[in-house]
Amino acid sequence: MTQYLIGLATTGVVLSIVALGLNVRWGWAGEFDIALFAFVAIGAYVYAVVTLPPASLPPPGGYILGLRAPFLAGVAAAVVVAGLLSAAVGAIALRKLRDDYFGITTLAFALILALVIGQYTPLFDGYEGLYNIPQPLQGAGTLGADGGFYLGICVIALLGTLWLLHRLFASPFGRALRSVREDDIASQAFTRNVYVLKLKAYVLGGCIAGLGGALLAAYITAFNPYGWTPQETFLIYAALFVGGTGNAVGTVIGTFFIEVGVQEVTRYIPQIGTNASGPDAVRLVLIGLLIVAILWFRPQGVLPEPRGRDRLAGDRPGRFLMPRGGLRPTGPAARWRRPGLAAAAAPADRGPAVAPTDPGPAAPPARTGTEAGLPLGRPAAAAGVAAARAGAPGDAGGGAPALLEVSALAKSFGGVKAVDGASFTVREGSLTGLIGPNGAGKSTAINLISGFERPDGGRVVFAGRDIGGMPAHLVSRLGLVRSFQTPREWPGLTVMENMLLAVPVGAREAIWRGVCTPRALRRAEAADRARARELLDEVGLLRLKDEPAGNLSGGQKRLLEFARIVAARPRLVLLDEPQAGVNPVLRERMAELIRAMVRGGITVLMVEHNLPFLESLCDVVVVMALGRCIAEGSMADLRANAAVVDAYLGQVDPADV
Amino acid sequence: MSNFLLGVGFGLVTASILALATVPLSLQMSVARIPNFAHGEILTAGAYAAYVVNEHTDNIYLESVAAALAGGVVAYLMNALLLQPFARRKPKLLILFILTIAASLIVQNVILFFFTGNSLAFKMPASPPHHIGPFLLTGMNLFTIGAAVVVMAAVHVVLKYTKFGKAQRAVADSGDLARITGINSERIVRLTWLIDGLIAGFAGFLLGVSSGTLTPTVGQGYLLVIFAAAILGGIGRPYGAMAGALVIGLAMEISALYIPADYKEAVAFGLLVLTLLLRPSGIFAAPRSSGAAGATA
Repeated sequence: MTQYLIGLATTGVVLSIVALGLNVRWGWAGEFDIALFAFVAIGAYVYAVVTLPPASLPPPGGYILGLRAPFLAGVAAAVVVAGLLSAAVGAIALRKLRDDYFGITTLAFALILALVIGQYTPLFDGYEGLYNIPQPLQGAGTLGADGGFYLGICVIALLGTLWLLHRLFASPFGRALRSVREDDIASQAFTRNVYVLKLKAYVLGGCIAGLGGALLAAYITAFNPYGWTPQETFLIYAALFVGGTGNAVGTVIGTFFIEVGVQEVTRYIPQIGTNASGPDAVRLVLIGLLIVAILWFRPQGVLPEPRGRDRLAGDRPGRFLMPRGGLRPTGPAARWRRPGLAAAAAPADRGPAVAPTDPGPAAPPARTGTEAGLPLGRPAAAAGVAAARAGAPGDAGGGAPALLEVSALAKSFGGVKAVDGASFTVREGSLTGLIGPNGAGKSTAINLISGFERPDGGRVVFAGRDIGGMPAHLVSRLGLVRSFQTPREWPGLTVMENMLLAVPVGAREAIWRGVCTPRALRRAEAADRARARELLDEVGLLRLKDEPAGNLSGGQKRLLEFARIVAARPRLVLLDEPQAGVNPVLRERMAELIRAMVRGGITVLMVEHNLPFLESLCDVVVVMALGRCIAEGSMADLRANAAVVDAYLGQVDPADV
Repeated sequence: MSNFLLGVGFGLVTASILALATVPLSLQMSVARIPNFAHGEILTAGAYAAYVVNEHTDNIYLESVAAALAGGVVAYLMNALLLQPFARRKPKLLILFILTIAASLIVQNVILFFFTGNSLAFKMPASPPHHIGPFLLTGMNLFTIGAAVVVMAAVHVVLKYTKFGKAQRAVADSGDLARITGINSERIVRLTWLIDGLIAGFAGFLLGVSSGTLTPTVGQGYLLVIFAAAILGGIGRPYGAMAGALVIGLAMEISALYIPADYKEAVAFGLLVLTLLLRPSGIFAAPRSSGAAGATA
């Protein structure tokens, strides 16, 4: 009886570790991985051949290695090899593939691996499999013989894994991973290298699965290719759905429920006739129905993914907002009291406040330049630009240097030349409009500049660097941030998490920092949190900060998008139809926010169809038609321009203009 | 050389079965867009239905009809009871994918419950191989090739010339737009699943006969080969699926002449992975168009 119960517990614990691997891949990163059990198998085989004595069978039987190494060496080797193989598979499968194709590719990998291991006997003795795999502490007293001590080892491994994942979940790395799951396009727009993040998740999940595999091999002491069909992976998915996808504790509960509970209960189903597989069949039908039911009635599972709670140490904002060095000529307190986004947007206060507590390069090099005192970093300079604009609206920023220069930009889709040699300039500190009839290529131009599409030709120079063809996450690291026609929040993450993700944190997102230095990370983040609260207060979303962003109304999502952009401290913002689907009251509010952004030293390029709105805001308007820029100037100039009236204004009711 | 031609002959038979299994999947994916993991179970259901008939008669036409009907019922119910109610909630694609996995578990194990996991075998009348040109083919092989040609022609006629085919292509292009213009897209989707099941169930019968033994995982074991053909031809392109089936079928059988036959599935999987990496929208698609959009060639 003891042995039986210990056996059940060990099964549950070991498979819980495996399930935690899937929780990282699917629960956090949203990777639809069907190969999970292939990595469990690799872990099991590697553990076996490292700990077993040399093979005694003559070729073609037998197995490789046979090192007679101790338990821990075998486990370590299993984790490392499973991780390396995950890196190889992930590197291939995660490239540019749709989510469902990714799943099919991993399935192909799992089946190929099973085939090779089964057929190529010198590796792991083919379909015969390996036997007498050593289990540690087996000789130690009666409890050892029952596997009690081994259960202890497995529990320690499970607790260790839970502890690791607990730290990572709340770390910047975990948050970035979940953002990729929620909306990878938005993640790219805010400096995240989606490919690398997903690969890291895949490898981390593979290492955990490999650990589970090693423990599984030592527990059952035998392993062959029949034990790990895709079905095993689906049972783990069922466990995740039941327990709560993304929730580590829920994963463990779900695994015990599916792999131990359902298994044991259905053992008592009487066998009908001669069908020995009957009870098994009933169990799997029940699990299939359970998956359907839970996805229908409670898709988040019994224990939903925990929401990131917004806490500040001691919750004394002032402490974190004061730059410790007092390096700035303008007193931080004075700036703090200044109302409006402009104050909050002033991109100077974070650098010095954070630097002492954050040993790593807190921001990528390209950004430190922005923060360390380029013209827009100095409120005085920004104010100067604003003043100049106020004096001469049509011609503002005329003397300012160009921040963005687009020349002869071209992009075709099939036979359609969406952008066909467009050239225009956005001056530092200006608010430039981009208009044109539908299909003129405005949105494509925005996509090309921000790196979401590769141009076929032409140059895009931002702050003196050629960024043509640079991927989106690198473009955004240079301080060029964009919005989308429909707001792309990360719906499953809280409003506060959305804000924190907007801040480029570079090295803080390393896995080792999440595991080893959580306190330092929290301290470093405190300034970002305080500033995020300030910005949320500014747009009226502060009381919703712990609400999932997906629950916000359309207008609130727009406001969150604005707050996020300001939190990113950009040099240049590309707004793609910020007015789309916004009511008139909110429209006024947004005009104010955009003005405040510019006052704060941020340059804005805005695509918009609402011409009066543009006229009230913009200094310069660029007109595109048929993929080219046909004019540039103030709205007054443009109205006098026959080509523009022809191409664009002619289609609009004159009363509107 | 003659060995090679024999390989080609077997390849044509495999390609015929594969085409019958792949085209309905592609048809479904062009309209309902669900990567159906339970597609293999539709084949399995067809195979077992044919097996039940086979216990009483060896008339392959009756067996074919039983297989097609069983496949049709399973596929129709899978959509009507499971996928369509979920699809109305507009979930993420992956949730639908996972539901088909649940469906696969359910159908496969219901079959396991009633038929046990023992391998069964069709009792087919002895059919000596005929020399046809350079090929060596049994009567059943010829029936398979002929049936594939007839069904492919029928699919072509339905898609191209019937009102249903037109409506189906419209839904494939844009379900919402089709709905606005008065096409009952849910009905089109239901009918598509029915047709999917009819053809796939029939393919399951042929698969069960050709593989010699019948187990509840016969369809699932074939699923990835089917996906390989579908993706090679461009997912959602029924005509591409025919070509993909031909390429994969020939590649599998011809490779078996040079490397151990146990690896012939690995050849299909390898082609699948290569296609996904190099041309994820299929080898017959224009390089920049998206395969998922599902133009029907």
